[in-house]
Amino acid sequence: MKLLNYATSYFAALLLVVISGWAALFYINMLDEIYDSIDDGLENQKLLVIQKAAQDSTVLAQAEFEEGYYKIHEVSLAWARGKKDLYQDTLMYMQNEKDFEPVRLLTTVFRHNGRYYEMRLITSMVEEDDLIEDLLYSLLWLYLGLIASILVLNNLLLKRIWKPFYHILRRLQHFKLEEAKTVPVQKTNIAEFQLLNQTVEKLLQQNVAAYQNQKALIENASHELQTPLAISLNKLELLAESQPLQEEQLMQIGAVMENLERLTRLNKSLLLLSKIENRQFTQAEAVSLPNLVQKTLADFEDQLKYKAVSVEVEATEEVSLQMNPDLAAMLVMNLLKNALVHNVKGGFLRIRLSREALVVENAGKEEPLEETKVFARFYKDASSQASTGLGLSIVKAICDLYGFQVTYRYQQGHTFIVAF
Amino acid sequence: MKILVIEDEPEMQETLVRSLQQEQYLVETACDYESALEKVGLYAYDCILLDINLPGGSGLEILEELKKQQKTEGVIIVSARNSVDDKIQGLELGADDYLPKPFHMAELHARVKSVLRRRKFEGQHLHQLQNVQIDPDKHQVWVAGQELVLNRKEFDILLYLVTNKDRLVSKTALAEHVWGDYIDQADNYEFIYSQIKNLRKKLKDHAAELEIQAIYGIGYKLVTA
Amino acid sequence: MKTIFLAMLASSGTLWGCSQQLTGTHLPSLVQNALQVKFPAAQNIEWEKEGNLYEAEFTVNLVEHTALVDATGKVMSYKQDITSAQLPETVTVALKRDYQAFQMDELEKVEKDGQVVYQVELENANEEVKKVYAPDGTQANVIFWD
Repeated sequence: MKLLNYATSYFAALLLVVISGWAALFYINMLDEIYDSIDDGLENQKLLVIQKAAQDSTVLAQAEFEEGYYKIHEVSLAWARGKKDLYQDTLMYMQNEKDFEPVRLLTTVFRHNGRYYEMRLITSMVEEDDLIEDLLYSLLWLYLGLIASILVLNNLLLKRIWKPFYHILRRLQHFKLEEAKTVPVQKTNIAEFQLLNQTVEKLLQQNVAAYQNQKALIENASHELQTPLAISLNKLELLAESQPLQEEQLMQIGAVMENLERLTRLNKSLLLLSKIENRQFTQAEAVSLPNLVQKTLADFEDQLKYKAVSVEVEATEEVSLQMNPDLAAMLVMNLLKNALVHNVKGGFLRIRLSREALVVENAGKEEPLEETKVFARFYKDASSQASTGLGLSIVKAICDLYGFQVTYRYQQGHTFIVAF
Repeated sequence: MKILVIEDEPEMQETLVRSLQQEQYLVETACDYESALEKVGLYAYDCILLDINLPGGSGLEILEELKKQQKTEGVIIVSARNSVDDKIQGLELGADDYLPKPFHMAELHARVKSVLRRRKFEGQHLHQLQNVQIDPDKHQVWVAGQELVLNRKEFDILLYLVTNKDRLVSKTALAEHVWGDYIDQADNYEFIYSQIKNLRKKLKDHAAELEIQAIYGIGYKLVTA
Repeated sequence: MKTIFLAMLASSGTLWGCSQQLTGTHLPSLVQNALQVKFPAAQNIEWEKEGNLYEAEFTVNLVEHTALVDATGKVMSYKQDITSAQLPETVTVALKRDYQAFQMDELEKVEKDGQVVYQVELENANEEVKKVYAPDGTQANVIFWD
């Protein structure tokens, strides 16, 4: 749930309680006022009638309400004595409404010329259920109106207030360490957000700096290793052909050279990874993948033949991707090399290329690789000592750079899928 | 043939010099920007091996100077920075080739010879070794005047070995040269062997006076029979 | 909101108004109606029970009145404050004659069973006297109604 809506839901609940309480109080008070006013009116009418009776004795003969609002009948003193004014709610049949309607009834007794009379006075009443209904509807509208106002307020005012916060959130969401791109900070007058901005900014800068340092270290270290590697390798080559050497010595030199060559490849791969991640391959052009796959397969032809790997290529449609040609070649080459190197004698290699994905499936060890680690640097199975364990990392790095999804699956063969 | 090695790393320089001298080249050296610029200005060379990172300046500036002086030396950039930008810039400034460190000596010799051939003989040079004649441009081979038909890979192997005649060529150097940089699967070069075997058989069938020796544990060496 | 609040205060105020005095709801209708018929303009009526009778203190046109009503709704007697100018000439003369050294303090006109008398409170430096006069200026043989 969004922060704004979260606050609103609390407001709504609180308002419901407050408005309900308020409504009850308001209703009681209003009713009280109404009764007060009606009863005052009745009392006044009572006096008027009694005074009128003093002058006009026909008034005393009004035994039924009929067209009037009062009726009077004589009572005994014993009955009248001690009687108090009584106000009551009652129902009375109303001609106009053709229904029983609530009325307020005042019963009183008075003395006139030494005789005692009971008088009943009525006046029409508000209909309580109507009142409650009206009140309820009014309050419902009030409640809805308030909620709507709060929502509007939230969306206009609070959204504006929280804008810097959401800006920071978006920044963090889209922040990539590798990109080292700092999005401009949204200016704000709110102290907390200013602090948040500063803190986030500082944190990001520190991280970026640390990351850059690390990257620079890898790149510099790789560069610095090139020259000593070159010297060692070349000196060994000179040594190997310097004088007649025994086979045993040549073997040793060969072994050292092989390891130096491996070190060289490792170094090159690390440097390449570093460069991909540093986005040093900027230039891009349309690369035809079917052509690239065919060309790479041709490069591997001899090895494929030597391992007697049967190759199936399914690439019916032209797939052209906008990317760096060197990286495109590197991507396809590493995928195919992986499929070749880990293949078995007489195995298979199936390549399916469509606009959606490049799928490379190969025979190999009959057990799945660890899906979570397969693209990790230096992950390799124990049997292939000579591989650098960086090939698939390079594949992953290139895919990440261009936003491709690369996944591994094991179904009869090892399957690598690059979804564009 | 006169070659200038511009390299600031003494060990590297010494190794390059020794290897080139074995090929009977006349080798001179420069170890920083100033001395390099001086030598380039004073003398003429057939080929220059140029390191880009030099004390006192960039190898690329030396290239610019050469271009300004309209010198026709063949230049091979030898750099520890395997940078695409350096490579493109270097080639645009008139360098003939770009060789990233580390490299195999066999590869260096092949590149140097290629440059010399292009520069000195306008590409009209045929390799002649005993009774074997090779045309690098037309990919043709003749043994005693009779054409020897080789497939592309066999031809590349032969040319590479001939270029590095009497030198030890490691399997890796051969594989990288013939099959490309990305053939980096060291424990699995047996596929090379099948090509060598075919090549040997064809040479023998045509009575070529060349022999490809296997140097156990390292690679191959082409010798005259 | 403000008016509601005030209304709430007002309503609670009427509740607090309860005391030992009688209010409308405790008062027999006969008593209440009798007074109101007799004095339609009565205001600020305060009831107290005096034995079997009910005593009402109220004002009519700002003049203080007191009335006694019995339980059957008969107004027994009532009195009202008057000024010396409202006193009949005969009573004024009688007072000047009888109590020359006194000053008039309070004057009341009392009506009982259709008979009117005047109650006078007089005082001088060391004495206070209460007298009842008939309209003809004679002292009436009636108990002074406090």
